[in-house]
Amino acid sequence: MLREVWSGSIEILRAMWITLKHFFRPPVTNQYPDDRVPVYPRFRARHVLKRYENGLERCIGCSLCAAACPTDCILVIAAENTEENRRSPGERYAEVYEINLLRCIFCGYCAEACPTEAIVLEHDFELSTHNRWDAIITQEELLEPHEPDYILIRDDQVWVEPKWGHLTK
Amino acid sequence: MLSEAEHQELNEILKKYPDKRSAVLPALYIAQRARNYLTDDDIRGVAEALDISVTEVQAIVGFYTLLRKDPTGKYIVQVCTDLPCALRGAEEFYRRLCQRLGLPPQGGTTDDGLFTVEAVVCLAACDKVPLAQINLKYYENLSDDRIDAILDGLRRDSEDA
Amino acid sequence: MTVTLTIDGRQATVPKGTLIVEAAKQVGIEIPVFCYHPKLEPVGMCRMCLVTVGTPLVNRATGQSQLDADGLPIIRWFPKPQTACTMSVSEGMVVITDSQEVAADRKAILEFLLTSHPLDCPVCDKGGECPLQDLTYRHGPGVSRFDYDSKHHSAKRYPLGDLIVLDRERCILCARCTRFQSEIAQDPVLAIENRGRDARIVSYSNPVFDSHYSGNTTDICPVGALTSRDFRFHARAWELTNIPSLCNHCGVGCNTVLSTRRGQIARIMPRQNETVNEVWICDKGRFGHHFNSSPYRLTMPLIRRDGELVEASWDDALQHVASRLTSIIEAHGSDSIGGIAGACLPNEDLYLFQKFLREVIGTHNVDHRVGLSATFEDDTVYAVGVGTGTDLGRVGRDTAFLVIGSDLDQEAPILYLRVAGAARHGATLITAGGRPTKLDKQSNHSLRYRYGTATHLLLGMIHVILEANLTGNETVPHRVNGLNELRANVADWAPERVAEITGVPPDEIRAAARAFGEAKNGIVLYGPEGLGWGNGTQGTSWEAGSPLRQAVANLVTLTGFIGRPNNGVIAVLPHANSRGAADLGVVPDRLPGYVPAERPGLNAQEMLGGGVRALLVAGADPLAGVTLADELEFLVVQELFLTQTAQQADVILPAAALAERDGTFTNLERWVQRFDPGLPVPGQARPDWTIIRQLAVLLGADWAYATVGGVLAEMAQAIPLYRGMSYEQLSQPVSLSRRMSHYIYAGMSFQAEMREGMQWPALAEDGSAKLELDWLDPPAPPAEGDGFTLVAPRVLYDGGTLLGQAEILGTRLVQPHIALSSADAAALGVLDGQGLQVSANGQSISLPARVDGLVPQGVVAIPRNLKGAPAESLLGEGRIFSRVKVVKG
Repeated sequence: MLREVWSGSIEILRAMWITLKHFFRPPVTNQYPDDRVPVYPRFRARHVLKRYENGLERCIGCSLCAAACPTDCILVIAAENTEENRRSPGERYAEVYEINLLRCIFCGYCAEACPTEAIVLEHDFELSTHNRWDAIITQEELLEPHEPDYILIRDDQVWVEPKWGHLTK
Repeated sequence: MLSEAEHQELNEILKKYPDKRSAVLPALYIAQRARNYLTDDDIRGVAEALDISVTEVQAIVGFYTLLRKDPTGKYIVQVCTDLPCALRGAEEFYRRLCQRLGLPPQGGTTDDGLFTVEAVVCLAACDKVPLAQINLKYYENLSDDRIDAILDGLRRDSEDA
Repeated sequence: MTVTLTIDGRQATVPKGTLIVEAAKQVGIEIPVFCYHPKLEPVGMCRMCLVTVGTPLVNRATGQSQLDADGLPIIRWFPKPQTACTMSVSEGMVVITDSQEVAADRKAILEFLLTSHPLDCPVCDKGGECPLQDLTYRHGPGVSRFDYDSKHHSAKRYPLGDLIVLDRERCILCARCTRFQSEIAQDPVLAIENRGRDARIVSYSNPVFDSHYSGNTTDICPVGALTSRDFRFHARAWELTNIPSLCNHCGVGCNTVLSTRRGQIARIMPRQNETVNEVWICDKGRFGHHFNSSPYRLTMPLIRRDGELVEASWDDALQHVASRLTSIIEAHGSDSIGGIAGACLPNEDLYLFQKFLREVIGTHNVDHRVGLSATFEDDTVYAVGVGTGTDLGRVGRDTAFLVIGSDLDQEAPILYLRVAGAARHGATLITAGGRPTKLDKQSNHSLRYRYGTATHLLLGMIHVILEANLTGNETVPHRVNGLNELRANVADWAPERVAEITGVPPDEIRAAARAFGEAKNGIVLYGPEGLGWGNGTQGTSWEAGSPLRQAVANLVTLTGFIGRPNNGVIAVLPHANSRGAADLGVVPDRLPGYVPAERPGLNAQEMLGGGVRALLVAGADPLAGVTLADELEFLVVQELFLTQTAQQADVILPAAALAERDGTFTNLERWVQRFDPGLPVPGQARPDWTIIRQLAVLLGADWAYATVGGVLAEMAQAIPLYRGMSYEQLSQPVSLSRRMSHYIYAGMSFQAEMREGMQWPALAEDGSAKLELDWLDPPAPPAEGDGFTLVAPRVLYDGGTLLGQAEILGTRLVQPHIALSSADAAALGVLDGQGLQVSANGQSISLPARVDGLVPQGVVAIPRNLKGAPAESLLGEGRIFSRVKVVKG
C-alpha cells in the first residue's frame, strides 16, 4: 500500500517534470502566417502556366491536361495564332484556360500529360477565397510570373529530417 | 494560251483518241513547244480545249519533269551526273560549266534567257562522258573548251535568228 | 456466286468480287487501311493493308486442286505480300494477317509514313479520332530509326479555299480526298502535284477548292491534313457531345451529328444512313449552322405597343393573341383568320398548325407555299412516289433516271451525288432542262427544251413509249384506268411536233424515251424548272404545275415503274419538310393525308392580298419585300429572327430552332426521320408546337400534348400514311447486320447512332389500288418574241435567312447578278461584271452581268431567293420564268 503511494507520487512528479520541462522549451508550432514554413521543391500546390524564355506561352491549348484530369476541373478553349497576335510558338494557343481549384485534388496528372511542360504544380498553397467564383483561376492568374513572396522553398538537397539521422548535402 | 495553229494541230491529234482527255500529254507538249515552258495560261488553255479541270492538268505538269512550269531558256543543257558519269568527272565538269555561265552550282537559267543548265540522272551514254543533252540532241566526250564552243555556236545561231 | 476462302484459319463465304479487306471484316478480322475507303475505288497507295496471300495449286489437266500427302490442298504463296484492298477473293484462297511477317510489314510501312509526319497530335484536330494515331499505337514502331533533323518540312497552314485548310506535313498522300472529288463529287478540283518527296495536294480551281462537297474530304482524311476552318482548333474530339440530328437546309433529309461543346455546335458531321445520305453531307449543311448561336436570335416574346415592339412575358403575349383572335372571330367569323407555316417546320408543328386553324379556329385558310415553296407543289408522290425500300445508292445497270427541270447539284446536293453515283455504276441517266446543269456531264441523254415546254417533251416521250409498246405489261392493263383515252390524246404529240415546240430534235426524244422505257426500273426526278409557270399562266402554282405533274405520273404509270423499290417519282421540293407540309395538309384544299377539303380556304397569296384580318405566320417570311395589306389587322409571327415579316408583326413569339428541340421531318423520298435536341434554347424561346398548343388551350381546346412524341402518336392514328410511326420506332438503331453490311469508315471517334426512320408507302404499292391515267392539256407554249427568257433557278448558297448567318460561307453566297451566255454578252456588248438592265412586267432592275457557259443563248438567269430578291421582284414570287427585255446599263 505504502509502496504504491510512493511509486504513484514518483510517476506524478515525473509527469509534472516533463510538463515543466516543455514549459520552458521553445514551442514547435509556427506562428503562421507571421512565421512561414518552407515547402519542399516538389511540393504540389497551385498551378502555374510556364513561358518560354522569349516570353511566349508554352501552352498550346491541346486540352490533354483537361483530358487527364480526374476531377474535370480544367477548361481549355483553344484558338489559332496569327501573325499579329502570337501567343505561343506554332499554330495553336489557349484562349481560355481556367482551373476550378475547389475541385482540384492536386494530383499532378495535368502536368504529367502536358506535352510542352506548360502547366506545372508549384508551391503557392494559400488558396482560400472569399467566394466560390474566385476559386476558378483564369489564364491571367495562372501565367508566369507567379512567385509570391510568402512562399519559401526549402533547399533542394535536404530530403529528410536531420533528426532522423541522415543529412544529405 | 494555244494559238490558232496549235489548236488545229491539237484537233488533228484529238481525232486519234476516243476520249478528249487522253490527249493531254500531246496537248501539253504542243503548248510547251513555243516557250520551252508552260505558263498558267497555257495550262488553262489546254484544260479548256480538252474539257478537263485545270487542277488535273496542273497535276500532270507537276508529275512529268519534261513539262516545265518555271521560265526556261531557249536551250536546255542537261548534264548527267549519275554515278558512272561522276566517276569520269561529270560532276566537276557540270560545276565548272555552271561557274562559267554565272549560275549557282546546282544550275539554273542564264540571265539572257538563252540557256537552262540542269543535272539529270542517266542519259544512257556512260561510255562517252562528259556528255550533255541540249534540246534533246547529244553532245558526247565533252571538254570545257568544246562545250563552250558549242554554246557559243548556239548563242550566235539565236542572235542570227 | 459466292467464294469461300480462309482468313487466319477462319472460313469466310463472300460474294465473288469481294475485296480481301471486306471479306476479312465479315469474319471479324480488321485489316488496317489508310487509302482504302468502301465508297471509293481501291488504289493500293498506302500499302498498310499488306497481307500474305496464297491460292491453291490447281492441276491443269483435271482442274482439281492438288493435294499433299495429308490430303490438304497445296497452297502456292504469292512471293510478296499483297494489298488486301485491291485484291479480290478467289475460291480456296488462303490469307494470313496475323503472322510475324505481316506485323513487320505494317510496322515498316508505319515507320515510313511517319518519317516526315510532324507528330503534332496534341494540336491536331484529328487527334483522338485519327486512324494514323490509332494504327500507330496498334501496329507501329515505338521509335523511328530516321534522323529527326532531316525531317521534311512543308506548309503547316495551306488554305484550300475558304472552308478547308491543308497541313501538308501531316498528309500521307492516300489520295482519299482527290478520289472523293473526282469519283463521288464529280468535281476534280483536287489533285496530287509533283512526285516523290515533293508530292502534295493542290487545287487550282477558281475559287480554290470549288465544290459543294469539300467538307467531306475532312471526314475521310485518315490524318489531320485536311481540317475545316470552322472546326479548326475549336475542340478536341473527346470533348464533344454528339447528338443525332437532321440537316434542315434542303429536302434530302441528310442525317447529321451535332457535335456540341458548352452549349454550342462545334461541328456538324454526316451520320451514316445508306438510304438517304450514305456518309456524305454538303457544305451548306456542314457550315450553315451558325444561325443557332447568332446574337440576332429572338429570345423574348414581343408585343407591339404604340407602334413599338416591346418585350413581354409569354403569358401576356399569348393572352393578347388569344383575345385578339377571339374578338376578330366574333366580329368577322372564322374565315377572317389565316395561317402560313414554313416548310422548314417539323411534322408535328405543321400538323398542329393546320389542326389549330381547321379545328380550333374553324377555317381552311392555311398554306405553306410562300418563298421557295411558292413555285412548286407536288402530290404525284402520294400515288406513284418511289417504292418503299428504294435505295438510290444501290441501283445500277437496269435502272433509268429521268431528271427533268431540276439542277440537283444546286437544289439537293446529296441527291445529285446519289444520282451521279448511280450513273457511274451503269444506270441510264436522262437529263432534261432549259439550261445545262452539272449532271449533264454524267448523263447518257441530255435534252434541252425551251422554258415552258417540259410537259410537251414528256408527252412526246409518252407517245414514243406507247408507239413502241414499252409499257409495263404486267402492271398496266389491269391496274390502270384511262389507257385508251391517253393513247388517243397523246397520238397528236409525235416527236416531230414536239420537237417544233420544245426545240429538242425528234431523234433525241425517241432515243431518250426508248432508253427510259426499255429499262427494268425507272425513276423520275422533277423540279421547279419544268413547271409551265411563266408569263401568261394564270392561277396558282398548283394549277400551273398540274399538266407536268400529270404527265410525270402518266409516264411512270404506263411504263409500270410504280409500286416497287427503285421505281417511281421524286419531286425535288425546296425545304427540309416540304414533303411533310404536303402530306399534312398545310394547303387550303387538302386535309392531312391527301384528302381533299370539302370547302377549300384561301391560299397564301389570297391571304396576303387582304383575304384575312388576322394572320398567323410560323417559320416563314412571306412579307419579304411585300407591304402589309390594309385589311390585315393582326399579325402574329413565330420566328427565330426578326425577319421582314416579323418586323411588321403585332406579336412576335420566339421559336426554338431545330437543334434545340426534337421532332420529325419527312424527306423527298418520304422517309420520316427523327432528330434530337442538342442545344439549350436561347432565352425564353419555345418550340413552335408548344406555342400552338398553348394558343389552342387559351382558345378553349382541350389539347393535352405533353411531348412532341405525343403529337406524332396522334398523327399515326389520324393519318393513314403515318400509320405505325412512333418515336420509339423512329429512333430504333439500325440492326447490327445491316450496319455491318455497309460499315462506316474509320476516322470518326463517336458512335454515331444510326437510324433509318420509316417510309410511308405510296398508293401504287397497294396492289389492289387502281391508278388513273388522266389527261390534262399541256399549257400553251410561251410565245417567242424579242428579248430574252428570264429564268429564276434555285441555287445552293442563296440569301436565305439562316444561311446569311454563316460568316464562313460569306464569300460563297451568290450575290445578285444576271447570268447570260457569252454569245448574248457579245451581242449586247457587255463584259463580265458590267451592268445590265432587265425589265419585265413594268419592273426594271440593274444587275451586274455574269458571262458563263451555264445558260443557253436567249436565256438569262437571276437566281431565286437572293439578297434583295431581284428575281422575285421581276417575276413575282411564284413564277419561274418570263420574257424580259435586257439592255446594257
